[in-house]
Amino acid sequence: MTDDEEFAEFAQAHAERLRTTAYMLCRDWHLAQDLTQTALTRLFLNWRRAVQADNLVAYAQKILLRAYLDHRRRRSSSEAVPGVLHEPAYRQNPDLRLTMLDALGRLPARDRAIVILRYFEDLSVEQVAEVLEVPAGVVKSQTRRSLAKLREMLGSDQLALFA
Amino acid sequence: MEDDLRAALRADLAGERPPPLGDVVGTAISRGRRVRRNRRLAAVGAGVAVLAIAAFAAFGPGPQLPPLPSALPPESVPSIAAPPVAAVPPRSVTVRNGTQRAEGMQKKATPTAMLHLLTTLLPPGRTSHYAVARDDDLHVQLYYDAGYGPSMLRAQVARKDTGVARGSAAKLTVTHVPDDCVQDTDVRATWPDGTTVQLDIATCLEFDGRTDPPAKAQLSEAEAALIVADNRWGVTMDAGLVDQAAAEFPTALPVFTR
Repeated sequence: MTDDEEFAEFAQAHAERLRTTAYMLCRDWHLAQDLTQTALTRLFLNWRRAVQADNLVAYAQKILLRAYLDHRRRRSSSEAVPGVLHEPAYRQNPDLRLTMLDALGRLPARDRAIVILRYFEDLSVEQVAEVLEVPAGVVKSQTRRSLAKLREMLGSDQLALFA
Repeated sequence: MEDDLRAALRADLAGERPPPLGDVVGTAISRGRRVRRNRRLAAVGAGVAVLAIAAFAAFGPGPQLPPLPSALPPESVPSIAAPPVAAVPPRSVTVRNGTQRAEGMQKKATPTAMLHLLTTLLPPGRTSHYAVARDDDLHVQLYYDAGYGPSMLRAQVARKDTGVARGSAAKLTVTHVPDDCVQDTDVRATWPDGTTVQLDIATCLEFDGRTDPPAKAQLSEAEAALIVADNRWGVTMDAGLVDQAAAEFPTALPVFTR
């Protein structure tokens, strides 16, 4: 099997999962598609190095995370994030409940990535630290702070989740 | 707590209706290949530019060099006459069979003439193991040792008639062939008349085609560029040089296999 065929096999098996992760990060399916496309193209270009990684899926997620963070850095500071756009509706109608994804969308990009990698992708603290290239202590402290923020945003009816 | 958080995330996701994924894999492959191709072209272009600068810096703007145009094409470098050849007034240059020659009679080039010229152009070092290709091709091989042990070089001259004159600028191309130790670095000069001079810098010693013992390449790309850009190479060469080479290599040389 050639390198290209190996890549195609891996990518076919994991593209959907990568897009889901991308969606959780950006809350926009079209952007998630673009980020997945970018990540897969970068993975293709680095395939020979990638296959030497201990965990190829984690390697692909790392590329996706970087594509997402690069995208965030490029964005204009004036551009509104989806969470902010939703906020007035919650204020006007208390019956509308903030979902977990909505609350996640209100976290800063890196904090959101940490929560998603820890609790959706089930990566260990050390793996998240490796993907984001930050010390493990930072991952731990940021996780604690992010969970506290989520608790605060989600309100009393979901506090039980984090009791 | 962690399980609850996971469950909440999955429950939220279950309510989403994602659009079709589309052919992200096929697109990634086609885009990746295009990027690879562009990178290769850029690498070759950068290599050629470096060689042009190196070749020019090595010789300086000597009298035989044509004036540099304000915008030198990136793939071209002025043709460089070797130091022993005197500056040639334009009137003494004759154009014969489309090949520009500085002076003297021309003869059909021979492998021994190529070996002679190659050993003349190489930086100081020891040469040995001279060999030629079968069928009298203008394709020769030698070992070159600049102090790091023997290494192998192969030179080849060919011409595909383009119907135009040799011209004063040669296109230099550097190609790396990672899977072929004999042609690890291929430095080539092509003139407008279709003359191509190629020097292969090997990273192995493959004299008989049976063994590939590794060897340290001892010629830089810039040095190789200066060699292939020498104006004396051609399918015809200076008659005096051809005769001198015949005297230098009076007996038949071994034939190397490809």
